[in-house]
Amino acid sequence: MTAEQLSTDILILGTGGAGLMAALHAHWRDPRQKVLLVSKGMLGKSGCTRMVQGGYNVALNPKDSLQAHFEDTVKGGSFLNDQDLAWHLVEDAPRIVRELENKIGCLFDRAADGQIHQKAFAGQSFDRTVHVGDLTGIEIMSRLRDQIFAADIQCLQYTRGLELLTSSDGKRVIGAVLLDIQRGVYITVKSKAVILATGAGPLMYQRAACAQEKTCDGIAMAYRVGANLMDMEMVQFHPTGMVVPGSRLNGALLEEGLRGAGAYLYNGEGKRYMENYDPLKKERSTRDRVSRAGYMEIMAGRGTKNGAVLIDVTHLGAEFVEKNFAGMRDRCLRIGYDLARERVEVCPTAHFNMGGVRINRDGFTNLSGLFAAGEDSSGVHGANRLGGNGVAESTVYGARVGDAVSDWVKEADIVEPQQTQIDAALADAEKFLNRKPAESPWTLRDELGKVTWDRVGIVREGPKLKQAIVQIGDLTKRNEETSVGANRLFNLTWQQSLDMRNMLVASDLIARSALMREDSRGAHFRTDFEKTDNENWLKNIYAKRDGTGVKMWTEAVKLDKLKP
Amino acid sequence: MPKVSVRIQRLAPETGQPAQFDRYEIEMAEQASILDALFALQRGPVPDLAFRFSCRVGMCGSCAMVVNGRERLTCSTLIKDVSQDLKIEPLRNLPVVRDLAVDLAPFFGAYKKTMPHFVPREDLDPKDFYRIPHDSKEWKALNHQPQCIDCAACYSSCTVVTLNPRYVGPMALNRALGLVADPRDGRRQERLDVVSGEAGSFRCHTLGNCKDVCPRSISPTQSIERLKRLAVVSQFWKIVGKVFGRKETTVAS
Repeated sequence: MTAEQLSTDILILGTGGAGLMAALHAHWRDPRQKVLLVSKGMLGKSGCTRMVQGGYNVALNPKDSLQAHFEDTVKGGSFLNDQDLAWHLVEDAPRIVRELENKIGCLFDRAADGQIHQKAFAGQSFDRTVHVGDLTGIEIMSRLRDQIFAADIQCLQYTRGLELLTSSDGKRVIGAVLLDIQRGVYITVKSKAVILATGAGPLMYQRAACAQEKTCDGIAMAYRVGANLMDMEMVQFHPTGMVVPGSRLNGALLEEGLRGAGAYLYNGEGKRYMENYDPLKKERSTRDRVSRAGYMEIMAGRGTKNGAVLIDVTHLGAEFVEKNFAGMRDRCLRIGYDLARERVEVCPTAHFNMGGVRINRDGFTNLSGLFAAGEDSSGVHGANRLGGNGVAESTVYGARVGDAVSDWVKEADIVEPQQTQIDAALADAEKFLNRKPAESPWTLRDELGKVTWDRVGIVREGPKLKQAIVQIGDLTKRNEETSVGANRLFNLTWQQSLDMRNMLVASDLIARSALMREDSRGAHFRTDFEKTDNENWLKNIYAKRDGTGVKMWTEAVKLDKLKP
Repeated sequence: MPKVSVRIQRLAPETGQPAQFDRYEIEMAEQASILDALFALQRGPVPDLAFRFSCRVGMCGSCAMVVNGRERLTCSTLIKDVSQDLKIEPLRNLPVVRDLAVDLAPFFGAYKKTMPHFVPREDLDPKDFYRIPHDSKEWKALNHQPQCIDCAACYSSCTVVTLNPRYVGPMALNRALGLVADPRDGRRQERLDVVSGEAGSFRCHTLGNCKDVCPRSISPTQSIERLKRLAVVSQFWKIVGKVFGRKETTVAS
């Protein structure tokens, strides 16, 4: 088994908002440097930035302030955020959103007077969400892609990262081994720096909202070469996922702006249950609270007969809904419901990994040469992400990392990879092919979906988490034995075995971190530790590979800008 | 829902064999989409079926195919709205990579010829957001059609593309109008020159296939007609300019 060989200055894995912004910023800062983008799907079409509905949080209005956006972000994250990262998010967002508008070409919605329009989102003290209707991501990703075309930055499409390559002492990342999914060919890339921007993605849960290629590849690759991960227990569940039995549409989102605009949520008995969970903010509470409330109503038997709750925007007026939420209405009409005129069933759905690779404000990790941005990283959102802060993060941190890496590689060199490491990566991928018939990775995917949903989900407890860790270990062994046929060309079942390997790494770390965190905070809720314990648990949980095991530790959150 | 019969194209170009259609009977849920049927085949009898998808909510535009003779976005089309008897083929006018997956390089290649990236006007204030009041001429002139997801359904359905592969196609032209009509953009004249060239808007025969198949209800035909008018007006002013030294006012109509 051999691999094609490439060499570049900057290798970027992932082509969502973070990857493309990193590529553009690196290129703009120094066009002489060679940037190579790698997309698991198609350039401009893969990842979740494309799926952004509501919009982009940014303090622009003179009545709003960076401090208010910052406080909303940190309070929304239950004070687990890295405050330096959260501050740079809100501080850079105005500059980056103007860059998106005036340099990249996004045309955001205007109010009637011609000024930029900012709409209401949940969990925020000011209406600060910039948007393009209710399908904002299409505009942002199309325009970013057009600029990538203009800059003539090379992109390997339908190509996945398999493993990162390291120097012989393991302290420096020097490239990656890739697999061209369509041609079934391996590629080794020597690179001065590698930026992870693969978008994490909690697809291990049986109900999940995100794009279908987001299988925690970046997090798992980073973990395998010894990167520090943080806050892995923090998985966001979005409260209003669609309920479409027997369809992959199940778990897809109805956007946050509905609650921002004043949607009501009802249980199966017709009660507005949020009054019992957050009497002040009700439906406009943060995603963690609204998701948990919905889940608890359903578990208590107060759901609809499909095991769901109901979202209602009819009181806002059919015309208002048709005008402002055309995309969401379309999405519902497709399955036979008119959002403008009737209640629609919804249920929480796994949506976002707040945890991931530990970075500093310029995307540096604990490994030299390895950088991360967007959902692959951690710390910006703490224990819960506000709606509208996701695309802000991916573009702000993509830009920051692109700038920083462009400077960093000037002093960096290309290191020859170790052949043993390349051979091992190839063998580990190749082994699934040409086996005797065995279990299919799809069967295991269904099992993993159920284990994570039931035991590492919205409501957690110690004994169940322990069971989950054992089950995930068992699935990990079984996945390595799966068989995917002989065809190596565009064989998506082969890709599924590789996806499962990465999702299992992340699932295990989520469960272990969740077991370690003995309090409830943000998206993490333990029935055996229901209280938020600021005495003992204003700490981040770290995880790092240690031989075949995992080393875990905690570090206190620095509360230098805002205290609880 | 009763069982669904699905015929899918299998094609492995490396074998040199022609495409074949395999038929499967599968049980699908009431609200299942065409894409769900492909997922069911992938998990069952055809584990190595090649097809493209990503968001499955109609935003990424990866999963357009020809279903029962017509281009459709498969994630956004329910089986029950088409037929219990499905025939699924790859998009037309594009080379097939494998099975149901086409190579979009010619589609994006045509798009790239139209200078699709935004270039800010020199006097655009980078620290502000250009004001476009809803009652202004500039606002009315914008391309107000729904957002394009570049799924290539229009390109596949366009008979002009079939006859003349150099024609840039409906998607590229509709998006070109977006920039031509954008008061912030600084390359209006160059864009108009490109899209009214020999591979551009005047090739369109206004048959409207693109509009019929667009999953976002865009009418590229309408955009192309506007581009033609703008190109004619721009030509007129060029001549006037040469003769009398006067310039066109820049608001697109």
